[in-house]
Amino acid sequence: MLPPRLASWFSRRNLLRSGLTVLVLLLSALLVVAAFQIAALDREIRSRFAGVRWTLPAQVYAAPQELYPGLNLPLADLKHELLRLGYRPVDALEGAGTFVPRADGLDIASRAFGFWDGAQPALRMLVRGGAQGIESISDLASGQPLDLIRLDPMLIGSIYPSRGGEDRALIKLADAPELLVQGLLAVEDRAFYQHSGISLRGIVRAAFENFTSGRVRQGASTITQQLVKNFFLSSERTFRRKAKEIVMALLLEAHYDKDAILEAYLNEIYMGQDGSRAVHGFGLASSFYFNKPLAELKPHEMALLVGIVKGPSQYDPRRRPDVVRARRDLVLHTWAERGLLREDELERALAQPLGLSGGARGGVERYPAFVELVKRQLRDQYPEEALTNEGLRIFTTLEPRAQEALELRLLADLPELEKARKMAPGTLEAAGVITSAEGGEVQAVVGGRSIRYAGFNRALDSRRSIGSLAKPFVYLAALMQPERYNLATVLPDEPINLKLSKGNVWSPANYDKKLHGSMPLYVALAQSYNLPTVRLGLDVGVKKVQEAFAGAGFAGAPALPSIFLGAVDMSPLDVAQSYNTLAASGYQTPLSAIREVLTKDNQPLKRYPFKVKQTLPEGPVFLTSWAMAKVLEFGTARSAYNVIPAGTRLAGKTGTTDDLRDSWFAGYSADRVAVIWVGRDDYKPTGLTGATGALPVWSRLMRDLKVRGLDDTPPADVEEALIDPASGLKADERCVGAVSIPFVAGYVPSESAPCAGGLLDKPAEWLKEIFQ
Amino acid sequence: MTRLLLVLVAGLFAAGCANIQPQPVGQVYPEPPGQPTTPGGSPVPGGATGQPVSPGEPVPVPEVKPPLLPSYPRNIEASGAAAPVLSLVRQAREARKAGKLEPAAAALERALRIEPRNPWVWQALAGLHLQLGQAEQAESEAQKSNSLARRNPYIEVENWRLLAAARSQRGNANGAAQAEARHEELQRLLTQPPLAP
Repeated sequence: MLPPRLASWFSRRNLLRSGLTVLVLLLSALLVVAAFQIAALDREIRSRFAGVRWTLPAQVYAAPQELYPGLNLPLADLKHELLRLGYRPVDALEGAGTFVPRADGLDIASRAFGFWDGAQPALRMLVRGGAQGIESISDLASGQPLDLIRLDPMLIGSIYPSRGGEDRALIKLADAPELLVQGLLAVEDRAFYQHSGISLRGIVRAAFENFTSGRVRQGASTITQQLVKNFFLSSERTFRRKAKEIVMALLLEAHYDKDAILEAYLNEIYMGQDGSRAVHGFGLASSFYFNKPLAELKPHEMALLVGIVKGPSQYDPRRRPDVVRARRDLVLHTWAERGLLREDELERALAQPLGLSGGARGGVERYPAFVELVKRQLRDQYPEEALTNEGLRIFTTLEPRAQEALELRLLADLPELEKARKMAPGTLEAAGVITSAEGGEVQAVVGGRSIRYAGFNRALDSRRSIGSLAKPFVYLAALMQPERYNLATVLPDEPINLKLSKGNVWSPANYDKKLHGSMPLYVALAQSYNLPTVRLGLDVGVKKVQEAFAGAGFAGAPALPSIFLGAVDMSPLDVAQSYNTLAASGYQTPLSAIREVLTKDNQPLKRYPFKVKQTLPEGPVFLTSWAMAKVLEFGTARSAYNVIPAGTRLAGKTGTTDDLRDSWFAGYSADRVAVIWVGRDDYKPTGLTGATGALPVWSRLMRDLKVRGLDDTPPADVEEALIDPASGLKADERCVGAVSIPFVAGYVPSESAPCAGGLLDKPAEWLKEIFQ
Repeated sequence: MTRLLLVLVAGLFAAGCANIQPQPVGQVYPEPPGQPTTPGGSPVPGGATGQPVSPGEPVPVPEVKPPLLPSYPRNIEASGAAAPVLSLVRQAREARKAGKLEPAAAALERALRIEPRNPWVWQALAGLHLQLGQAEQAESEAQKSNSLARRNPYIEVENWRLLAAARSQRGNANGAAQAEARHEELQRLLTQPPLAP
């Protein structure tokens, strides 16, 4: 029997031992679990960091502005172009992205840019010229003349998942300005290059604050922790998550060096919201807020970006400029205290306004209607993920100057139309498309009056009756039979009653409800008379008119006589396609919005070459264009020359639909095709004809674009002859009012008109045919 | 005075015609022919613009189509094309020589954005597409070039050669033969220029 003390000693010791054992076991188990967890986190970190770190939305660029001597670009417009690209006017050239305005030109320090076919290096050049355009370009240092320069193209949007998502423009640490990097560390994590992922002092401080407040409030995160938080973790605030964050931060630091972590941070950090798109990283933030690359930011702009890292929704510069300004100034003062800014630099920076780029959406997503067209053309060829994830670089055909001109016209002219017609503001809607006449490149698209809003895209999706825009194709179909019709063919203007299949009778009338007597074919088109057109269409046949439409690039015209007067539903883009083929002399080019697609590493992926195919005969197309020029000269669109310079020959057609529901104008110059639609979304009448609604907008647009007039030299298979318009026969100097009219070669009327000694009583073949 | 003028114009015309040097044909990018061989520069005023110049009625014009050969530029360098277009065409030639056909095509398209109606550039593009095996595209481009050529036989002769080749690649033997015939006809015209009497 043991003495009681000893017994108690034993039992206590046993207890202690068993307790210790349990504790050791428990700890070991915990360690094993923790080890497994840590190993799992470690794998996660390494796999994420080693592989593709980000899904990158495709970046969409506008067409670059080409500069060359002789270019018809007034210097004021060039200056505007530079400002749009975020170039800064300065007194003496600084780094890339600056320019000096001078009386006789601009000195420009252009940015380098990697194009499809090679890199355009940064240049310092002298551009000389005036209001007429560019006269010379030379290298600033050597004085050597420069033939052709491409400015860097404007980034106009990116393609991210439709449910919303992250967008970023990747940068390298080496490309980030030193002040930005040092300044970021000075504000967010001073000991970044010393600590091992976490800052003990920070944690203690945070723990104390959290303890006293009873909640998790204080982050006290290092850059590494913030990166981990953004990269791997949800935004919930729990102690468990905090622990995970700390472990991962330590692991990240164990595997990767400081610079790699910092670079990842610069690209990952959330910097603001643009609709459903989250703006991440300093690269995109720079263009989102300032419309220029990071390398060109000034201290006060960098300070703003560093300032809003703390909470981009709380510090939204566009919504709360005062709060953000205070925050920015605080950052600037901190930088000065840390020796990053001299006193004078601080003063200068403090004196600057925020300097945000115009518009609520900044430099990107400015042209949603155009980008929508780009997306559609891309979706035919790329899976959605390729567009939203792989950082493709898409080079488009958008011409910012044309787009701006179109936007300006619709914004300025619609209120005017509403006011003149006493409509409530916002009653009318509108859409417009501009293409290049020969290349078929879509240069501008506006899908509605809310230009920056990616809503209903009327330019692409609003299919409405085109009215008289259809007439050129009726006349073209006729002129494609030169043995039967020419521009001088006399058409009667008489009532028509056409029995339709279901016993209905179609009785079209002229717009003015009057009859005008017989007239030459080209006059009927110029004046847009319905009855001669229907008669001609019936004579030619619906099928031939459908074929003319198809040749122009529109296959959807129904097999009904009502298509002669435009009972065809087309979108403005469809109309642009059809008229583009006329503008290109019968060579059809499928309208394209894309030139090239590159991978994110600038490797060419796909090019969209010019595609032409002759689908309509050149001669008859020339004759149709000739008659369409008469529409503006003396026809329904003659008011165009109230604004367009008299010497500029253009061709076009007005379009008006029943009860004045749609007002159209489509037409072209030597270089551009433009289509304007004005109407109401609810299909109610607008009181506008094509000539009173869309035409004024179109005319001013063509004037603003300084379009080149059409060449009236006939092609090889067309010859001109003097014609007596009354008879449609050959005239000579005895005929009063004779007109020089082009014909398909070999089909000039051989008979002389009565005024030129021809016989009166002999009815011409063409006349017989018509009245048979 | 009038008579003097007529004699002068006729003389100039004869001089111009007599100095035609046959152009090597069958080259997609005709190299500049060194110096124009016509003494005293352009034989007819405005000769470089590609516009046929009418010498006035009394001058005996030989009954040939196209008229007045010397007034047509023989290559893009002489055609009055803008400097950037020439520079892009040169760039395309070099790329093509180096076997980089796509960049060559891209350079030519860039040139077309500057001068969309330049028949020489359309022709060069047609030659490239033929080489790339895109005969249909080549055919359309050669046709387009012909449309824009304003009857310049120096452009047309090459276009018909391209058209013949493109059509035979596409299995259109008839069309190829027709194009070949046009090509030969023009080639004869260019190598044996009609002389003014």
